[in-house]
Amino acid sequence: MQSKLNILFLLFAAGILAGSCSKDDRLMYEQDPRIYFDSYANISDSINYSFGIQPLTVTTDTVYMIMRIMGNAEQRDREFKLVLADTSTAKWGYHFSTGPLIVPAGAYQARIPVYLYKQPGMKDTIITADFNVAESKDFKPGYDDKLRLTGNRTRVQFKIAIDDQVLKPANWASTLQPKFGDFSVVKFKFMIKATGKINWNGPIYPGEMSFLVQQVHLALYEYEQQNGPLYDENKNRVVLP
Amino acid sequence: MRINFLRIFHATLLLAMAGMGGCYKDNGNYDYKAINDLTISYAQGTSQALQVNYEDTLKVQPAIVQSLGKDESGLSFEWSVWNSSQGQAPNAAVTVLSNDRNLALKVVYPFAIGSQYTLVYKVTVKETGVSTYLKYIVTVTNRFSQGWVLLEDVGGNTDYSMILLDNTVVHNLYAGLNGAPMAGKPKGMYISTFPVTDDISVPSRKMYLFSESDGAELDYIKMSRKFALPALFYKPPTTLNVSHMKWFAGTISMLVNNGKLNVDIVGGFPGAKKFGETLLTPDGDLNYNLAPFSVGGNTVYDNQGKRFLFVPSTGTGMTRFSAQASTLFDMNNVEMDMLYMSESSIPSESDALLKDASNTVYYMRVKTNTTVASPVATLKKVSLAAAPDIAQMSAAASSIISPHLYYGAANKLYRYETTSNTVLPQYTFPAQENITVMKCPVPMLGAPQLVVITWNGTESKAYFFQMSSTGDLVLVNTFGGFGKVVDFGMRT
Repeated sequence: MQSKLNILFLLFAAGILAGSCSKDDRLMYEQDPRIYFDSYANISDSINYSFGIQPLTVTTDTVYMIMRIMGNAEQRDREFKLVLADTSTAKWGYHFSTGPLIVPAGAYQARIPVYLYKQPGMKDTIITADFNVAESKDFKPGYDDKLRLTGNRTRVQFKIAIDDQVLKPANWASTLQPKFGDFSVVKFKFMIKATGKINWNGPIYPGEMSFLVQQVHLALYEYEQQNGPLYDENKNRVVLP
Repeated sequence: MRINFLRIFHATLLLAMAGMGGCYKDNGNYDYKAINDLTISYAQGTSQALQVNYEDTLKVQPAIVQSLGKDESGLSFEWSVWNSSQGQAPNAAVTVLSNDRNLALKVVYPFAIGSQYTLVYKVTVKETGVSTYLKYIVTVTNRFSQGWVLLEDVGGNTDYSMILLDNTVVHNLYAGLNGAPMAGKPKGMYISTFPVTDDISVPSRKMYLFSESDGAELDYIKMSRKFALPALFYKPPTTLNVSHMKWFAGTISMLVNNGKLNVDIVGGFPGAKKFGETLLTPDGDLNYNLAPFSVGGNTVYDNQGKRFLFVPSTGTGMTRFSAQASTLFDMNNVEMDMLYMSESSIPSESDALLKDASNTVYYMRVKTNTTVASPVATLKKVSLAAAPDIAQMSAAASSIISPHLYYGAANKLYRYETTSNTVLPQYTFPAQENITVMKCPVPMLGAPQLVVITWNGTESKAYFFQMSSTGDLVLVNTFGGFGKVVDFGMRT
């Protein structure tokens, strides 16, 4: 009897030792695949686009939304779904359309083109498309937390605002007036064309400001050499201090 | 079912015996032969860390002790090196330098000043193939940190020589440090007198070279090429033909390209600072052609419009001088061509030599720190018609310690005293040795010096004069053997 117990003990010990060799599984996200806008931390949760600061010939343009998934990539294309919130004033297919809402096989993120269309009414109104991630057969919406310190959108929300206006930068009087003089739409559009700079709000450091002023001065000189004086919408000659 | 425990026991026992068989000790009967063990160590008085000046010869003689004899004919040697400076890729290329017992290597390009290298000595016993290693860390130091830099024409290309503080002359340094001379004939150079923070590289003093077809900022420590000229602009001009560059007070640099002005504004604000767009005249046009000078950080001269132009600290354009600035002459309508302009011994007052339509040369003194309370910029205007050889002037330099301006014509050096309006000959160089460049450099090392460069058609020479507070010159040193020197500066 004792010998049988010894044999059983040996087999048990061997089993314990063999079990210690098993591989530990990695800690991975194994819940349902989810998808969200890559728009937290320092990445914007919205896009403001103006046809007003583009050449008149531009009637359509493309911006991009970046989507990221939760869970593993798969070896097949997967579809996700976006819907417009009730707050939206944009019409899908009229003011904008999108490329295929697909996360490609093997990818953890997708860059979705949004085609914007210049339409009547944009000169007076800012059209907004407020996107929400909705559940599809392949993805559920990601977590709706909000990591940004500012802004009103979660990670499953994204906003595109479209207009055809030339809006006077909020800092014109404080920052730009001493450098460029009185505001006019024609002058501001000329400044944008001469420098390639679209967003004039926010801080402009002295080195860049000098370069911007130099560029606009030279561009205006070269324009007048070829075309004569430039006049604004109020029939005033565009001049710089 | 009945379990046959006896069989299981036998099977387990068999497995245990087989396992234990692996522990059997081999007591074979072999013949053992002693092999040659090596011990390599740093030579007496040396260590792993080595320092060598660029262009000096690195000599390394490690000590080797063999367990079997002293004959080294059975050994093979290999010296290999790779750049292990901070920021280098961990898989930097390894270069085999030598297969000699000892290393004697002249440290030149591609070794770089300020860089650190790992040097590995490998000794192999040929009979056994067993190798032993010894590692050194070699830092290439800079013996060119101080001295005079002479920009010269070497076979139609641009290079520079240095006169070191111990009076050693080193030639063709640009090619030595960069692998080849700069293409095109030399045009000029500039060394800033203070560190500049432009956020496109580590703050340091600046050193630039310009040739007819190239230009570059050099790394001030390594003296190797850092940026090509276009990289110094936000948007490079279509054509680059730099005739003047100068940094002022660490906040603004003026660059004259094709006679037009570009400025670089730096300061404590973030972001890369570079040269901007071409500036316009006060009339908003490009109708100007600047002389290759700037003074006071705010004043340039337009040889086309024959006028001084003021550059505000914002650097957004050039403006006219106020009507109150002009008393002795009209700053906005001088009606002369600028021949020379530089700060005087009083930094806010600059010396200028101009000539009118009849080729009469005038000395003018302008103030560059005018204020509303003290608006007058025109301090002096004197005809130099009586000054000997002034019409043939080829170079000039203002003293930084006394009210004197030196000028050279052919092989003669003169001193003009701005307070008494008198001229005295100072020195006559050998015949055919014409003065091409002269400077009273800032900053200085040691006693104030005037340096005069001459060219006799085949060779440039550099003459060093010690200056006294009364303007007298004493020749203290002469160096020759240079290609045609077109400009020079000083590293301190």
